[in-house]
Amino acid sequence: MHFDASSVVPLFHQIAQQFTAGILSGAFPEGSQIPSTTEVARTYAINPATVLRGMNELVDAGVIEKRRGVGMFVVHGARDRLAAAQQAEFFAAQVPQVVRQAQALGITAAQLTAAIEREYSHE
Amino acid sequence: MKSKALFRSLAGTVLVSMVVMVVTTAIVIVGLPLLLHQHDFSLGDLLIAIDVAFGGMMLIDVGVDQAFQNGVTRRTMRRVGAALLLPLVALGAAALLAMQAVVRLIGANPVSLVTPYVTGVFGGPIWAAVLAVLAMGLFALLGVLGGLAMRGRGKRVTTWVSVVAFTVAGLLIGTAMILGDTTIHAAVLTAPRLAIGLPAGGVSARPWLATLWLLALDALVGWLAWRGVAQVETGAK
Amino acid sequence: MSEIKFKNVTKRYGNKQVLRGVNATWEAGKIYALLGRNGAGKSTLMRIVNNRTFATSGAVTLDGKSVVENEAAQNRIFLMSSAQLYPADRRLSWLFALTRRMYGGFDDALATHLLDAFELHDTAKIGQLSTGYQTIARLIIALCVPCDFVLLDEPVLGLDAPARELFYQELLATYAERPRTFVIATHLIEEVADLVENVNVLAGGEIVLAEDVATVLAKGRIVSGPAGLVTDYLRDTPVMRKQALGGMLTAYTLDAPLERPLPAGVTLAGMDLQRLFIELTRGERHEK
Repeated sequence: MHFDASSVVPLFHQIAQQFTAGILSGAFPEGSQIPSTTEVARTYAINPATVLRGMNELVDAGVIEKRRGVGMFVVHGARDRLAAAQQAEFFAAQVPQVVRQAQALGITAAQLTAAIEREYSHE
Repeated sequence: MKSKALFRSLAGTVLVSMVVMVVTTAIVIVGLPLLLHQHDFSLGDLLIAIDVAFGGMMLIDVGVDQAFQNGVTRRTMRRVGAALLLPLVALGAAALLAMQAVVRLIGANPVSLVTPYVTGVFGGPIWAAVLAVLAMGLFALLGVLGGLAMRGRGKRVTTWVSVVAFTVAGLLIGTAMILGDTTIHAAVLTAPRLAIGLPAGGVSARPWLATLWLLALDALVGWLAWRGVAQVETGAK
Repeated sequence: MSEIKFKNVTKRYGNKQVLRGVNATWEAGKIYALLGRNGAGKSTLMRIVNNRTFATSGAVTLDGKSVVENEAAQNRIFLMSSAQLYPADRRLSWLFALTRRMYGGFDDALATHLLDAFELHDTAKIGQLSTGYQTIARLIIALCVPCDFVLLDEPVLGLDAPARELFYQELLATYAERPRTFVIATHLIEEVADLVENVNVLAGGEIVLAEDVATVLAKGRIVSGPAGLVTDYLRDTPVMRKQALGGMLTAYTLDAPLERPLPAGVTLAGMDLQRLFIELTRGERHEK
């Protein structure tokens, strides 16, 4: 995991993002235990309160759950939930941004759509 | 808890060193002239006094900083310091009286602060003890003041000053001892000795006068030392 | 919960006014960064808390009671600084034992672990260690005392990068196990930015910023772009500094108006804690 101290993304959110990436990639399989707040804090020399805030973000999103006395686990169905959330985020933030940039450069909707389809067919 | 811990730490270092120092000094003061077959010789009271002063200085030097590092208040420092000064002073006074006794036993003639009181005059030995304690107390407190003054001046300066003081005093007194020069010793100091009640120029001792002087000096220096510790600081650089 | 509170604390050395009215609170169980330029008074402030020097005026309290000449309070406070106050001829094992008797406790297990981690033996005499290892020895003691408030004044001075990293990890490890307050005064801001929860900035003899790091970083931004657009975007917003180059303008602000739409051509970049500190204390003058 790597964290960017000068990013506009707060550290606690970066932690949530990194765990999200780990869950989506299968590094943290559903049902498995993820490292504890303390472990993460110690490993990356990050304040435990910050780590906790990041983890709580994921708990609130229903992606991980805390089991008292045991630890934190990836919830079943987390991957689907995360994937759906990321898609929503993509449509809500990324797409409008690309469109605005294209508009600023004088690119029409038709040109943009054609370019997008070309990219997809490059697979 | 902290006062006990500080006392224990300092007793183990300073008091132990002081016992060794004072005993060694006393042996040398008595032994050297005897070796050189002197009969009348002045006992180096001043050397013992300087040892005791050094002890006072060591208490500050070794004690204050470690006290601050461990959250000890100045109030506790004063209490522990006082508790450690008492055995130090008693040690010095006992050395004076012991040297006196040993030399007399051997049959030589010692000249010392306490000599006029040890024999004769009713209650003499008591005066001897009182004066010895007050005088050693004064030097111990002077040592404390010296230690406080040295703080912040750095280790090198402190070491140099101690070395110079000891060397000068040692040379002066050592010479006097080796030369058995009790008459000059007495002559030079006649006026000051008379002023404070010590016997000189044929005038017999007035122990009560000497006692008053020493009490006053002890009170003054003691007050200065008290205030000094109350204001002491550490760790600026 | 316990807290150390500063109320209008001032400190004057002769003609020099070092602290001009410090007001702050250090709460239980949190890690603070105490930041300030050289000579800002960080060390002085910590020394006042630890009863090593006296404030000229004002009050420093622990649980409402003044810490001055208060041994019960001082028993819960520990200050580690570059000052070597231990008798130089003493072995570390003796120092640990002294500390245990003084504070009524000492984490021997942690001390053993730390000695091993830093490759130091407790038979070493502190005066014979190199400056770096003396610092490590004092650090070990600071992490093992049972105090609720541990003040660290430039704790990693003279330590190489691996040792510094090890220290930060061990600090967090013991903090996670036994939460207590750590206040770290340091110039290596980038290194501690992630491990502290709150930041206090001491400038001009006062605390000019006291906030948790996430909040401070959330709104701190470097705004760059065409001068007109940037100025318009940042209207009514306090700006710490402006840098103009040709028609471009870069502005540093603590309080970016993130709710406003960002004009095309204007970029927002985050400021890390060190950049923020530099901009915040720019223009501060110190008499030496």
